This record gives sequence, structure tokens and C-alpha cells, in this order.
Amino acid sequence: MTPITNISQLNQLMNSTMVYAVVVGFVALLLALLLSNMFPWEGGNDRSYIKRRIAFIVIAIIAVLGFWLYNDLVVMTHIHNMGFQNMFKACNLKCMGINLGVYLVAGVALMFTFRHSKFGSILGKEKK
Amino acid sequence: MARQFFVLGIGGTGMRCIESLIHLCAMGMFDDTDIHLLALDTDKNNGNFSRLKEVKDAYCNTKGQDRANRVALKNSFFSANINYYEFSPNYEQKSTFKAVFNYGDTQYNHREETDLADLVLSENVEDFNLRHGYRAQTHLGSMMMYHSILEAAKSPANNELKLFLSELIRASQNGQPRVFILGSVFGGTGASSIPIIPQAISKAAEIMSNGAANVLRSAYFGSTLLTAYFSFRAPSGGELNNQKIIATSDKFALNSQVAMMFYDDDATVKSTYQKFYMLGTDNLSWNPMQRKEDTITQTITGGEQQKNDSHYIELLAACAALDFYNTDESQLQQNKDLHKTDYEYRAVSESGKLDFEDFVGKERAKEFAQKFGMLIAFSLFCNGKDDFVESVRSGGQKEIQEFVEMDITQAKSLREYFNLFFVKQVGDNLQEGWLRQIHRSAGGQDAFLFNANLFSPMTFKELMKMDWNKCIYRNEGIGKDNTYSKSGVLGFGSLFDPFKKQFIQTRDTTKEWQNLTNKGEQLYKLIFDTLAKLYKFN
Repeated sequence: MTPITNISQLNQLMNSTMVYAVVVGFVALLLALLLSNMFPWEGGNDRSYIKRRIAFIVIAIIAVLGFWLYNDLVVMTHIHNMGFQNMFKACNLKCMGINLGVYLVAGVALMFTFRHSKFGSILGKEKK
Repeated sequence: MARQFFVLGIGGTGMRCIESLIHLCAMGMFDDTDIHLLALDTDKNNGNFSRLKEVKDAYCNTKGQDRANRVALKNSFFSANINYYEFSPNYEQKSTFKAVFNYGDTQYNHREETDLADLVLSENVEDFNLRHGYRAQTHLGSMMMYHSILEAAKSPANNELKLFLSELIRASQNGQPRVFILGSVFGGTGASSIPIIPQAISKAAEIMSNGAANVLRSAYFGSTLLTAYFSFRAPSGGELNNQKIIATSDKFALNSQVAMMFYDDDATVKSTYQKFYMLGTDNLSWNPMQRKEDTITQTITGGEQQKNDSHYIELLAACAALDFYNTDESQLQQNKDLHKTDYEYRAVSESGKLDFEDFVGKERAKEFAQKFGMLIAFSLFCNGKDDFVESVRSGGQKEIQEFVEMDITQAKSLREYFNLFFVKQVGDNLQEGWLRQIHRSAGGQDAFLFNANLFSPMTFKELMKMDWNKCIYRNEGIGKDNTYSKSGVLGFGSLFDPFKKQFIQTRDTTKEWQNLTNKGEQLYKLIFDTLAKLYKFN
């Protein structure tokens, strides 16, 4: 990766990081969708939705933390200017929000759209 | 409007045939039909009689507790609306022939009558206790049963026979009802009753309607001629002395032979019955009390202890009723006009393997395979703690909330029905139900319709591990392609997962189930459609 030495490079990096945050959010969502379909429905008192809910939360944590840590531990090493580093840290925090926002908003929207699916079951009990 | 069908089960074998008929109804083989079932037995404490009541109660309560709201349905489990009646001649006070006919007084007042009785009945026959049936004494049984039916019709008190006859009178005044009689020709009560039942119920209906109804003229009659197919422990000398008369199985083959000669020859019988279904096995090796053999120390003449295991021939008899019900009316009318009786029979493969078409013929074999197999799958989805119906009723399935108002007794009765139908969980072990008994009677392994693996689990754990997505049907013939794949990778492949997925899809894409008013019946209909799609029958 090219070292970040000027403001235009930093702006470019921050823009692309935000785009990546959106992409990671969607990828995480795709992963959660796939994983939730792998948990079978259960007979009796079906608690499988709890497993899916846990998987959904765990994937969210991994995606958000993983992306934040990657930026903080890997990308940040390419920024040598302390001021730039602070700016990128702030951007990284924003990306965390974007990542989580995309994941949650798109996820919940999908859950409501496909309410009768396994992914939709993460919301819990359906109203009659 | 639903079609009416009148079925009488007579004697111990008749009870077990009705039991099989009820299971056919549960499969959905009698769509859109009101079935009036009359269980007729002299021995009302008989174990088979009580088991029949358990099955009937479970069936009816599964449909709904309120009798008035039960209706016949189409393309669903428990589709037939069963109206059950029972009648037992009362031999509690007067329990011998002599007591019933007041032999003591008659001897002095009408000597010729007792002389006539003495001429055709031996002393032992006149003196044995009738509470356990007619004990293969058909000459006595026919007369006693005929009179019991007429007495019940004349009686000012209400009884279930009169309710049955009222329905039959109504049906015969509005059309030409079909009456089918299930019973054996080698035993006591059934063998005594088959020849006289059409006349007896017709006469009784005439009495009840003051001559307005002529059931014999309007109704079509059919019956099984079920010859000997089991044997049991022979009585000791002491038991014979004590009981006076005991039906012994060594005479069953002879009884059957003589009965068949009678049915082939008797003009009255031929003029009343339009169809006879001749059924039998090639040997008498079936021991209906095999499971209790160790505890039996004497010959069981009747009562609570007489709870014989079911045999596949009883299912064949029930299928004969189904065939009679579906027979072309013109054929029955032609036979009626010509006083002709059709004698139906079918031979099974020499290999001893029973196929679906052996039971219902080629035309209905696929339908029978589908509905029978689907009922088995339904029973497996309603087993143990994973009981699907109960979980849906109690809201345990979050995605299926439409059935939480279902009556709890329906779910309980369904469970009870499946215990009687297939297996009952007792601890971790399995107690045989009807299906397992008839599988055993056919010789076990894959000799009976389905895959042998279906019957091999001995514990509940083994049963739940069984892959019923693939091993309900045999690997050849009808049903070999009717399987489905497990899904849900993280559950290491679940049987339930594809079922629930299909259930939700069926619920969301079909409307038929919404036309039913009873929540339980809505659910059964949906499960029926789900299983049909899952096992690729649609």
C-alpha cells in the first residue's frame, strides 16, 4: 500500500474506506443470510431462531470490529503524520457506524421483507 | 353434500376390521363421506371392543369434540365424518339361551317350542353363558341376534341401534344407501349375524317406521366372507367342563368351509347381498395373542382379556368395504334386480410380499400408497417432544401462529390416535400399534407394503434417528421415487427442516385450508398438502 503523505491521498483513502465499510456491511449480511439458512428449523418448541439471532449478532461484531481493527492496525501504519492518523481514526469510527448501519438496516429490512423465512425468524414471534 | 355409507362390524373380528376401516378414514381414503359405523357384539366387555372405542374416540376427538360440527372433508387426513354406534344384546340378567327364552315356563305352557329347541340345540348349547358371544354356535347365534335386533327396535327406550337405523331409514327414503358388513364366517357372533343382518335391520327399520321404510328393497348390501386366519391355545378338559362350550380354533377351517358352501348355495342370502368379498390366508399360524402368550394360562373365551393383535387381512376387509363403496351403482342395481351376488377375490404374489394393489386394486394403488405413507410420516412428525401439531398449537413454532386457538383435546387426541396407529413411546421403548401388528402378521421384513427399516427401530431413540424421508417406501415399485432430502447443514441434515419450509410455503400459497372452520382440521389439511408436495406426489 502507498504511504499516505498528503491530504488528497488521505481524503482518497477515507473515501475508499467508507465505500469498503458499506461493502463489508453487505458481505457480512450475505454471510449472515447464508448462515441463518444453515440452521435447520426444529420440531417441538422451535428455538432455532435464537441460534440465528446469535449468529447475526456475532457476524455483526466480527465484521465491525474486524474492519475497525484492520484499519487501525494495518491501514494506519501507512499514515505517518499524527494529524492525518487522528483524522483517519475519526473516519474509522464513522466507518464502524456505516458498517453497522448498513448491516442492521438492510438486515432488518430483509427480515421484514422475508418474514416467513429463516432469516425473518431472527425477529422472533410473528403476529397473527 | 357428503355421501352416506353404512358399515356394520360384527364380533371380535368385525371390531378389528372396523379398526382398520377407521385407519383408512384417517388416511383420507373415504373423502367426503359420512360413515355410520355400527359395532355389534354380544360381548361388550371384549378387549377388541374397548380398543375399537379408543381408536374411534381418538379419531372423532381429533376432528373436534363437538359432534354436531364435525363434517366430511376432501383431500385431507381424517376426512371422513364417522358417526359411531354400538349395540350389544343384553345378557347381563339372562345369560343363557334357556334364561332368555324362559325355557322353564315354556316347557309347561308350550311344550312343542322347547321340544323344537331341544331338537336343534344340544343341552350344552342351551346352557352356556352368552356374555362371551355365541362361541361358534351359529345356529343359535343367528336366531338370538335376529331377535335381539328386533327387540331393541321395539324397545321404548332409546338405544344406539335405533339411532343407526333412523339414519338408515332416512337414507333409504332419500336414495339407495350402501350397507357393508364386516365379520368372520368361522367364529360365533359374526358368522351368526352375516346371513341374517339384512333381514334383521330391514325388519327393525320397518318396525321403527311403521312400515314406511323398506331397507331391504332400497339398500345395497355387501359383506366380507372372512375365513379362518388365526388359531389359539386349545382348552383343557377342565375348562371344557366348566365352560360347557368353547370355540376351538381347530374347527375354524371346517367352519369356514361349511360357511362358504352355505353362502354359495343359499338363495335368501344371494337375493339380499349384491357383493361378497372372499378373504382368507393359506394357513392358520397367526397367533393373535402372541405378545401376551407368557401370561395366558387358559383359553380366553371373551371379556377384557380378548384383545387380539391386528392382522393384515382385517385391512383387506376394510379395503373390501372401500371397493364396495366405490362400486358402480348400475352394477349393484343389476345384481339386485337379478338376485345375483358377485363373489370377489384376488390372489397375492407367491413371494408372500403384499403390494398396494393387492389391497385396493391397480386403479387406487397409487392413491393408497400416497395416503398411507403420508399418514405414517405425519405420525412420525408428531412423536415425542418434537410433536409438530402440539408445538404449533402451543405457539412453539414462532412462524406459524395461525393455529394457537386449536382445541387442546384435538392435539391430545391426535397423539393418542398415532399411539394406536403406529407406535407408542413407553419410556425409551416402543409399544406396538396397529401398523406394527399388521406388519408382523404379514411376516415382517418388507413383506408388508413398506420399507423394512420403518419397522426395525426398537427404541424411541432409534425411531427418531430413522431417515423417514427416504425409508417409508420400498426401494422398488410404487413409492420408490417418493422421497425427499434432508436440509440444514448445521443440524447435520434435518428431516424436519424441509418439512417446515414446505409447510410455510404451502400455507402462504394455498387457500383451500382457509375454507375450513375448525383450526385442527385446517392444520391437518395443510400437513396433508405439505407432505404431498414434500414426497413429490403432486
